[in-house]
Amino acid sequence: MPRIQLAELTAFAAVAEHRSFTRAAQGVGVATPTISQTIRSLEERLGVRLFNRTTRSVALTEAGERLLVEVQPILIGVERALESVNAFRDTPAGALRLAVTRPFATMLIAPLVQPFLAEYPAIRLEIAAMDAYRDIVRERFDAGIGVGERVERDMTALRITDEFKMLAVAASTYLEGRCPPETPKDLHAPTACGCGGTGPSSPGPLRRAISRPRSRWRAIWW
Amino acid sequence: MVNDLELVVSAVLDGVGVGYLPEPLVTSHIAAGRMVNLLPDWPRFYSGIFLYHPSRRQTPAPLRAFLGFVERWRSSRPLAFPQPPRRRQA
Repeated sequence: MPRIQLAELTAFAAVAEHRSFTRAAQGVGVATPTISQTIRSLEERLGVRLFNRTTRSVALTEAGERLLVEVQPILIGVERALESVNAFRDTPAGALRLAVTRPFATMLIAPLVQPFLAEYPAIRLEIAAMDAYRDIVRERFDAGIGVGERVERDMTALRITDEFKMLAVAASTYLEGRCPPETPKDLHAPTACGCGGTGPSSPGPLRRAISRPRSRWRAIWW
Repeated sequence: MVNDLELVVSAVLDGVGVGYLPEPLVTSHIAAGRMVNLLPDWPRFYSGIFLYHPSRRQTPAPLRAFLGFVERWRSSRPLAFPQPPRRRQA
């Protein structure tokens, strides 16, 4: 059997995960030519192609897929084994990978980053801001942070904030020429003039609305 | 449509339109009269922010440190959204 080093398999798994030599190199912390060379040399010694490369993409071959399936649990096992030693150290060290959903959770986590790293300088914090919930186990994150409690099996949830209210707000100046809505539906109505009656009892708002044609509610939301 | 909260806050303040925002981010603006809560009778509650992680026999040390840090952080302030200064109650 050709002698294969753990670092080569790590490089292989990184390229497979990122589907890019450049991004894999960044992830592993080496130069891009180095990682290309590593993969080429690995392929030569195994005698099979692991990736199909085009100028635009990198995809696993069937042999590559097979190798990834076999090798990934081993790499995770090695990582866990090294982590277990971590417990004996005085100061926790190593990577902490967090999947944080936008926009609430990222905003909430931002102020914690500096004080946390000041307290634990040996921890390397990696935060991936995402727009939707992702499978943190499959993507090998240590934890996810988001709105709502995940009640999936084998998951532990820790509350970070109390529940909070969401409010529909506008600038006070924006209300000129528009009537305060009574239900959420009113915000989608094409116009906001009238104020419960367009008769002579409410000429003021009506006239203002006519003089300001832009009386449709514009939703910015988030 | 915008999905960055701070951008929404400033767009609302600039009079661009209606924003849908977490209460802690707008209380000071409402108190100062710069913003209006359009639907005070229709509040919607979000259950809060949670951290979730795989239950393992052995939690990795960096995650254990982070969990402890978050607990301590949370006990020192009730809601971790960047809070605008609160209006003093008379």
